[in-house]
Amino acid sequence: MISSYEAVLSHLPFLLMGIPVTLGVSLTAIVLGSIGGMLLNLMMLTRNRSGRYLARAYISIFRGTPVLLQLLVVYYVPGSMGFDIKPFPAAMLALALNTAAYQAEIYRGGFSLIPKGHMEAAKVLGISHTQAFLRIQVPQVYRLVMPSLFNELILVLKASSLVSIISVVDLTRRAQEIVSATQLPIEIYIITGIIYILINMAIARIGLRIEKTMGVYNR
Amino acid sequence: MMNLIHFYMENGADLLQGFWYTIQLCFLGVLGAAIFGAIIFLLSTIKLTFVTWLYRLYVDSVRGIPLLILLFLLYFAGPRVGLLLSAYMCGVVGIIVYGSAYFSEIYRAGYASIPTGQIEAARCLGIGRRHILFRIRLPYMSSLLLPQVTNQAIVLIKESAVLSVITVHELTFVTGDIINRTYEVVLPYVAAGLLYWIFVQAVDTIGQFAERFTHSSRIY
Repeated sequence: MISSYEAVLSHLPFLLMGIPVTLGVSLTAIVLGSIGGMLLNLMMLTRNRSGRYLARAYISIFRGTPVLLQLLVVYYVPGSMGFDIKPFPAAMLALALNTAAYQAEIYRGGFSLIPKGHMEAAKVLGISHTQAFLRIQVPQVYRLVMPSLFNELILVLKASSLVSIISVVDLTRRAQEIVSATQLPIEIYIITGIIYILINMAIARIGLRIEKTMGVYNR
Repeated sequence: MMNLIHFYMENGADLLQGFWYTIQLCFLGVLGAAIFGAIIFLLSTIKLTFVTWLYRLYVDSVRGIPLLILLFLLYFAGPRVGLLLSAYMCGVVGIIVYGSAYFSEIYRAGYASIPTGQIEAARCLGIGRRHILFRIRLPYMSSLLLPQVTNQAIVLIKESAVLSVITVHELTFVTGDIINRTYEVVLPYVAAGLLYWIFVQAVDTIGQFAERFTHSSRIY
């Protein structure tokens, strides 16, 4: 018992080094995905029919298939065609492509909540369409969708454990390596689980804090 | 083109076998999660600080942990404490445990959104507790909850791909197997993606039908 305690303790720093990787992959994916999601959302709002269909098809595909499958496709398919892609960029790209589809839906919901009168008022005041979009609509949308975005971040963070499968050395991968070295699956996986739970709780906390400071309801 | 037909002729049966496994797993997993979630939800209505605390601990833990880690715990750590399950059973149990926390929270939100006035009115009219639950609370909840329940079922179906990691022979696992055997990468993934997509769309459509059905039979 004591020896297993020591074994776990001695491997703990190695495990904790996975936290920045897990956080890094998830945060990059969320940021890249928010750009992609916003673009998809804009495509859905345009009058261009083919653009609209394209965006819809993208969203349907990425929301209708498992993220694991998307990850494997992004990692293995370019390789099979002669473009080698490293595990880490592949992981970020796959998660970003996935979350872009979900974020597009989040933004769509946000934009639909903004009263039409805002754009009309902007038009009357001679503010250009792009200006009104960037300075009037987008800031409001971000404020409205902040809770959903934090929720999405938690989902992406949990999905990021899958990047261990394409050999990105994140938290989960490190846990696996420690388990195969120490043969202590119970202790290691419980600790890893607790780390994930704590990270997610922290994200939820930060989300609530931000919601409060920039919330829609207390201005 | 001939290649394509030839490929699917060769491996189509395997893919469909994997797909059938995925459907089975998801059916058992989602049903189990919905039922287990209901039990947990019912337990959470007991107004004891200790119970509330335990409930929050369970729900927050399960929702904060990736399914992959949960599966590793069941599959690799389980045998150490005498929990000997096949990979398949680990997968089903994993989905049930993982989904139950989400389902329970969905039920809770639905339960909380029933206006108290309705229940008070029923009580004033002398309607019994059992009738209030079955004739007022549950019908009210079912129409509110169906979209979210469908949504959660779809989330779990997509998560079921993760079971391939603990060697459950479901669609994603079979796809990987075919790739290793044939060195063909694109075709298997396209087929698997399409099958998952069809499955998800089918569940979504069923959910929408059920929604329409409960709406038309709603008693107000």
